[in-house]
Amino acid sequence: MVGLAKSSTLPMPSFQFHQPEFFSRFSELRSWEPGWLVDFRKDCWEAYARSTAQKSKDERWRFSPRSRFSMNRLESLAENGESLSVESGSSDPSIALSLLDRLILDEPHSLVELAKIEGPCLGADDFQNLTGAYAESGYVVRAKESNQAGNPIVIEHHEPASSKIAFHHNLIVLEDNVELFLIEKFVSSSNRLGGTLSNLLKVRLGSGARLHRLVLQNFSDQGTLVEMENFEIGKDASLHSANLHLGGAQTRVESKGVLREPGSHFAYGSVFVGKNEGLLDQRTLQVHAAPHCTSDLLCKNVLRNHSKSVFSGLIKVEEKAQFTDAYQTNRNLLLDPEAKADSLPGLEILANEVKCSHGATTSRINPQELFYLQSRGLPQSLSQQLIALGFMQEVLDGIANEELRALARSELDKSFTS
Amino acid sequence: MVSSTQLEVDREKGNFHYDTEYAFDAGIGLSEDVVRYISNVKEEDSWLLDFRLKALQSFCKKPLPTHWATKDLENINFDAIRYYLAKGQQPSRTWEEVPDEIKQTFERLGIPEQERKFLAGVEAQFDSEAAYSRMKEDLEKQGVLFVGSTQGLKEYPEVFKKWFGKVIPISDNKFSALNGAVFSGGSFIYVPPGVKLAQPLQAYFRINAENFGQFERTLIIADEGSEVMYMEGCTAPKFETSTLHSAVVELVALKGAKIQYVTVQNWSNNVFNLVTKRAFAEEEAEVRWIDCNIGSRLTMKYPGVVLRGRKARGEVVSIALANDGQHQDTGAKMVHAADETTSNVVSKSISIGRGRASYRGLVQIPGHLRGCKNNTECDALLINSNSQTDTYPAISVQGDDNSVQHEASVSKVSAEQIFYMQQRGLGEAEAMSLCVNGFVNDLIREFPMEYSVELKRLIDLEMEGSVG
Repeated sequence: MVGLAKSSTLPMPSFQFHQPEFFSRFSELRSWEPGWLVDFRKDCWEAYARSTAQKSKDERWRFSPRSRFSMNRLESLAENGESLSVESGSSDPSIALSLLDRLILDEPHSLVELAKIEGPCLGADDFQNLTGAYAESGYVVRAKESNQAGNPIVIEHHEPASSKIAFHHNLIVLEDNVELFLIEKFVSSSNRLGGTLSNLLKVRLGSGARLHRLVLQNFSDQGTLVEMENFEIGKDASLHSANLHLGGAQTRVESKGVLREPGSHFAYGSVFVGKNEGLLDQRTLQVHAAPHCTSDLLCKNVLRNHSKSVFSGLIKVEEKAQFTDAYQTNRNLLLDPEAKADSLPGLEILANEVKCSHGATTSRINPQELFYLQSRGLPQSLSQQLIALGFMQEVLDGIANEELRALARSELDKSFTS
Repeated sequence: MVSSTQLEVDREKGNFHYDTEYAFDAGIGLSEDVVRYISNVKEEDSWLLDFRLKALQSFCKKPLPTHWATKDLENINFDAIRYYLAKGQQPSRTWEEVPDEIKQTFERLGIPEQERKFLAGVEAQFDSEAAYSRMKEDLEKQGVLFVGSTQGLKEYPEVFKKWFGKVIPISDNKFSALNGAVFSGGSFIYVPPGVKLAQPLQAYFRINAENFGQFERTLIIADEGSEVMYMEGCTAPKFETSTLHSAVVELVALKGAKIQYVTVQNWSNNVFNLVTKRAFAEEEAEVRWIDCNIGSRLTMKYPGVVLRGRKARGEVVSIALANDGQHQDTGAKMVHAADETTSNVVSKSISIGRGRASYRGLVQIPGHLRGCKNNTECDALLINSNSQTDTYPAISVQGDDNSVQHEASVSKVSAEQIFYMQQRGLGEAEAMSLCVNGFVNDLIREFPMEYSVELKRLIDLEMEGSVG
């Protein structure tokens, strides 16, 4: 516990976290950590320093109003321990759920994957590197042996206070044939916070493992979220991730799924309900590195007022990944004249025995559909809502677990009626 | 397994060293002196020299676009290129010097004897005066201007100066800037209001050896309500010893005008083909780019239409075939800038052997517009297990009254299809050729008749040896 006390009150007001002096004080204070972790933090810091030195045009930020993710207006790190809470749904001893800071003290060897698994590296390298360098918070799930999937694990990330940034570094490792349900919530305790959360998740799924993840993001309309996730999917394993971005001023999501061994499956769905000046900047990468894998990605955005979405996705099929089935779809519904959707669906295919397609559409509500509902006596706003909800339902349909699906549905309804 | 028949020419053995004396030769490499020399030789006005010098500056300042484009661009040695060769005295070689493969290709494509000599660079001038003079007369009667870039800017500045360099500004990209500095050759065309040309105009018509220059510049202005179709290139392997081809093509379709621009590109496999093509379409005008890329080492070409007037329409129809050692990086740009504008992009690519075909597109619809529509379809066919295809579209849409759809798919020729045809007595290669021709058939129909016949034969030829 000594370490925790030390780190939570960093007495260096004169430096900011992106200055080298700050990092060297930080690492001095944490010099008691195991060597590999010290090295890892240092490597991350150096990578950060290197990348900020060279400022050339970055295609991975194309169409993005990048200044909205600038770290310049951030002053300090959020207090440790305030921004994360976890709740284990089951008492199953084969599932270990713990917090990063505790494990660093108690069982640091169980964290080595944090240094071994890469981040998604889809553009937000600064956030990724600084998360590696500074993170003291985060959740870690390790599940062994085959067991019946119990109640879902619930993680809550809290939006930091204004001008503060929190770094969470998370790890999920599922051994062979384990099935796990996980709900990850991004919440805001008040509408006046407006801090930034940089959340880095690394996942490794063993043979036949199945992970079902539901993300509910409800940050305040001042809050910033940078979510980075990399899923390494093993033989016959499957990942299903459904992501609901219902709040936040600006959200950058980088999701990478690597189909490492034959038979693996990656399914990813997301919806964004854009309001006011809301922004979702989403980058995805599906890497097919082995034959006989399937992936399916579906991103739907409903944009109102001045909100904006950027979708940039890439399917990469390597030369050896024959018999690939890969799909990528982005659909945007624009409800107001100022709403904007940018779409960059991409394919890079080096194998020929593949079924691969992508589609992107951007449109408004079909006036005939609207007219039909209105002619049945529904007011226009309600008709719009119903059509928009129906539009997003396809993403929810992908959630296998009924409970999770119902939860997602009610959250979506709430965001629409509020 | 893969042993594709290449239309490759070994330049060492081919022995194409020109000992010809040039009337004008700007020497090797690029500098301000070279640009001044070119301008001087062409006896240009001072504004044009300023234009060239500004373009040169812009070229030097701009970095290679390798942050998104292929790193292969770094292999271009800008200091080893001859930017201007004599006018009128083109290099000549004898028919005997032309490699047998090329002769055979001509034979199989069914190219007329006289055209063969021209295409192989044996004759600098294509002797077609007799055949086409009737047509030239007709054009003149209708008031159509069809001249070279130098002549156009010198003799008809009141027509061409207004749009020259306006559709594609000097600093648009590094290669358009390069063209701006050293351009020579190309066609300048003006079609008067209401004139509808029944016959397509071809670069051949104008008896001028500069037509197929390295840095040609084309400007076509179709005045109100006129219609014109222009064709460039040819299906035969065009002999080219220089390694960089960088053209600029500007089209202006005024109110209600229609322009169709047909290109068939079949440069030899050592050529970097980096072309900037863009059109302005005013109210109710229509511009169609019909494009087929078969040759070159690297082609980067994204024909664009800026839809500037209400109800303007833009279309790109594109076929790309990438064989071993080739990268066809093609696409389309549709910039909507007025209400009720529509655009359509249909692109089909075929990758053979280690060939790589990429589609790169841009569709832009800003929020203040009403009733704009875009449709984009990209289909890719992969022949061998190590062929590559990429798709990188960029779509930016704002507003609740516009709609855009993009669809791309990748497939291979199925074993069942091949098996079926083999059962009916066709060889494997024949069957494959048939499938590939079927894949692009609906697009090939968009090309003028004589091109489409040759294109089909050419695809057969390229497909040879790619299977089995």
